[in-house]
Amino acid sequence: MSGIFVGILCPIIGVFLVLKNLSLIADGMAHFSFGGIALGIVLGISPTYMILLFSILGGLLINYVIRRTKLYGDTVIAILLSTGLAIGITIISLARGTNFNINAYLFGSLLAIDEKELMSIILLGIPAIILVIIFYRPLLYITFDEDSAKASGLPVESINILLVILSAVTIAITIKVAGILLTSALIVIPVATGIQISNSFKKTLLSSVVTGIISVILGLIISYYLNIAPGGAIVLVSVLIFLLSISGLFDQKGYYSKT
Amino acid sequence: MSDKILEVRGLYFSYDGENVLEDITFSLDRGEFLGIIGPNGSGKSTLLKLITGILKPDRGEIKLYTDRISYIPQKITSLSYNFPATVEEIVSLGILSKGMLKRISRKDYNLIEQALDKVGLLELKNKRLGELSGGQQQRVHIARAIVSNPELLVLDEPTTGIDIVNQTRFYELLGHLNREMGITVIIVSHDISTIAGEVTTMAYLDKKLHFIGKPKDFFKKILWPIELEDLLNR
Repeated sequence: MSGIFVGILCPIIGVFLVLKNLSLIADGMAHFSFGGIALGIVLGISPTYMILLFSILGGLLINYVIRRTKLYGDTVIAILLSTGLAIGITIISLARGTNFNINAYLFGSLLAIDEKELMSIILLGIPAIILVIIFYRPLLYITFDEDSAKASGLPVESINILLVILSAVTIAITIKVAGILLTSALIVIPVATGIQISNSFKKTLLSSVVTGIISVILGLIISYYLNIAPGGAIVLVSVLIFLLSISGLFDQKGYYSKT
Repeated sequence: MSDKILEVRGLYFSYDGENVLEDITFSLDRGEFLGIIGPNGSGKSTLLKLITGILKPDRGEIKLYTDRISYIPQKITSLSYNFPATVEEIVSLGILSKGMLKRISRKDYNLIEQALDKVGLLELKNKRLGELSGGQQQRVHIARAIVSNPELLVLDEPTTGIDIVNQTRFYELLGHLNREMGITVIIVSHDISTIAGEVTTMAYLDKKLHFIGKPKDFFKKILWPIELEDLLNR
């Protein structure tokens, strides 16, 4: 159930991030939230909310620093990413002896999701999907070209912040399933497949979501029978689908169908 | 009394403490076709970004007497080359200017088709943008810009990388939009010869606004001394 949620949510946020050349921002935000998880565990606050808080914070920081400095996006993301990890590692080593399972957060674990957590996933995920539907066209416009969008009067900065918050929600949910290390894979790889096989934005979105859901379901089945980590299995399935999509199996030119 | 669409007064802008624009003052009437030329790094693109509100001025003021502005940035065709969207989807973005969250209605689809028809691309509306030639893509962006029925159309070096035949067609299209639809056009170009035939006002910008006026006066007053200076520097 929560897996399918992830399969839907990751690509619909991912498509905007990937096309904005921000594929790595999700990775940065997920790693940055490691600091939040460590802090949450030590302070006794639910890690889900700490992940949410830290990924929003990380995303906004990345967004802000890119705009205020002369640095490239990937440089800023690399700095934030390591900062979060360093905070996390420092806190964990200081709190040695506290008994908690950091592996569940690094690698993900579906079995660790209880009913309460499933509720919080639904409470966060459904509004996120609804917001994307409402803001679909402004999001598409700022993804296509920020300057044109701004000139025509769109509040570009606010929409960017909305995108960061939606990404943070997606990451907070996905970390449960795929873990910090592989969260960004689920946000990026199905979208890459979608872009490869579609000739319109709507089809890109749709095929990314379909790819996402197939990857999650197949990955979960495989992980169950082979008793391996679900995150790894899901991502490997999505990579396999991506490889199929670029193999030219669909069409020589790479476009799935020409209408 | 003339009907102004834009007034710029005492405008300054700097990057990293270095002035890119100094004391720019001019105004533009509705229905004009303004061509701005100047050397590389003369602040042309910056001036357009200030007029369209993408950047905020350091000093001075910009008064726009319309909120229906469309902007086509520099190098848009190379930026959007791989974007997975159809021609129709790109043009529909222009509808946004009318209301951010509004769904696209049947009436809007008619507007999109009309805009595509005007630029001669109606039959390509379901193609992926990247399948079109550079000249065709440029016209897609024009369709996106005019679909919201703008009063002011601002273009930054729109014909970079497009062959001369398509450039000429492109400027004819702009001239048509200017005369038939009454859209005020501001265009930045490094190529005087192609825009000179269509524009009603010409400006020469190099950090300061050295000239603004009729094209024929421009050639008399500005072009010759510049060429002479170029020769002397060689």
